[in-house]
Amino acid sequence: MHDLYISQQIAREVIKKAEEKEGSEVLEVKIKLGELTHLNPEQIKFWLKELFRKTCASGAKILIEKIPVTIRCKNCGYRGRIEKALSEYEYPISFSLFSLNCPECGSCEVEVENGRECMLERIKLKVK
Amino acid sequence: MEIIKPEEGEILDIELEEDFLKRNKKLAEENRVLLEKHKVRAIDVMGSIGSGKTSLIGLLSSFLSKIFKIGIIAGDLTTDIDAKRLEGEEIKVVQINTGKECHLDANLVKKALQNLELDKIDLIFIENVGNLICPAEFPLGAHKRIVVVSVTEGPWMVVKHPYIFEEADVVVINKVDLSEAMGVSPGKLAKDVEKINPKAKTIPVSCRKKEGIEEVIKALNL
Repeated sequence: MHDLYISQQIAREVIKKAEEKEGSEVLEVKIKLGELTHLNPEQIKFWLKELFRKTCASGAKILIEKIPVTIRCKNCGYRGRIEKALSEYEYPISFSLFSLNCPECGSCEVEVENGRECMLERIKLKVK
Repeated sequence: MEIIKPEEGEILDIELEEDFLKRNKKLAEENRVLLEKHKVRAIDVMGSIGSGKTSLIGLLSSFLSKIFKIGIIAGDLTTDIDAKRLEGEEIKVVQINTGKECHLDANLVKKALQNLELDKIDLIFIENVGNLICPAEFPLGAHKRIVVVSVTEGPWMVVKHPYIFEEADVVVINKVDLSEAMGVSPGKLAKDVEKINPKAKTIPVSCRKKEGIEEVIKALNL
């Protein structure tokens, strides 16, 4: 939903870093996106390409790694992935979301360990 | 001193590990520290467009204005209609216009807090932008989060937006006086909330009839 807002922040940071390091061209931008964020990799890529237009990052390869959701259950101690499922609801859900319940014991007393990332991980820069 | 620099045309691989959502979270934590320093409690009121966020804040404020000195931060895209509705002799309102943004973020709230005399305030209501999706991802530093949903939005508002309900401490089901006409069961909405977040307290409310407001105040531990 707020993909443009986040893309603007990422783009600003990429350009700032490139200038700081006296880079002439940004070759690669690597981003990590957690699957629990409301951010869509396709849209982030689209916006970054638009925002990078006519900048030193216009030719940058944009790589987005999706980070799967993992939780820690405070009830039974389970640690690991959870599945996308809201199947207990009677409504049809075409775009399935994660339900934050422990897959082992069903408890909702869980802590999200991974999946909320929205990280500019690294950039590759050609120096002047 | 000799400074080592990369040669011309050399490729630098720079590790940044900069998390943009965590930036907001960190600012939210700073807001919380500031609020606590001034002994102010803050409540983030979220909900979809037209669910009754402003009406609820208006009623909570008038019920509580004898006990607390109240400040309001009203978030809206472009207007100050809500701020004008809420402003009173006793109540100071700060308007945030987000422009195109679909949510308030901790940075905007930080700026708004600078415009409130925190030493003269005990309680702040923050009215978020009408949206059941984005605000969930942007904590503001408030002590409690309310989500307002109303029966006129239909029966699927809760199941369709699970993430925001996961974040809620209190869920207000508003306009229950219209539930029969709408054919929407407030009880069913409450059950949907319970499935997603059993810790949230769900309160049926009719802002129009001023019913349920005391229960909301109780649920907020005010």
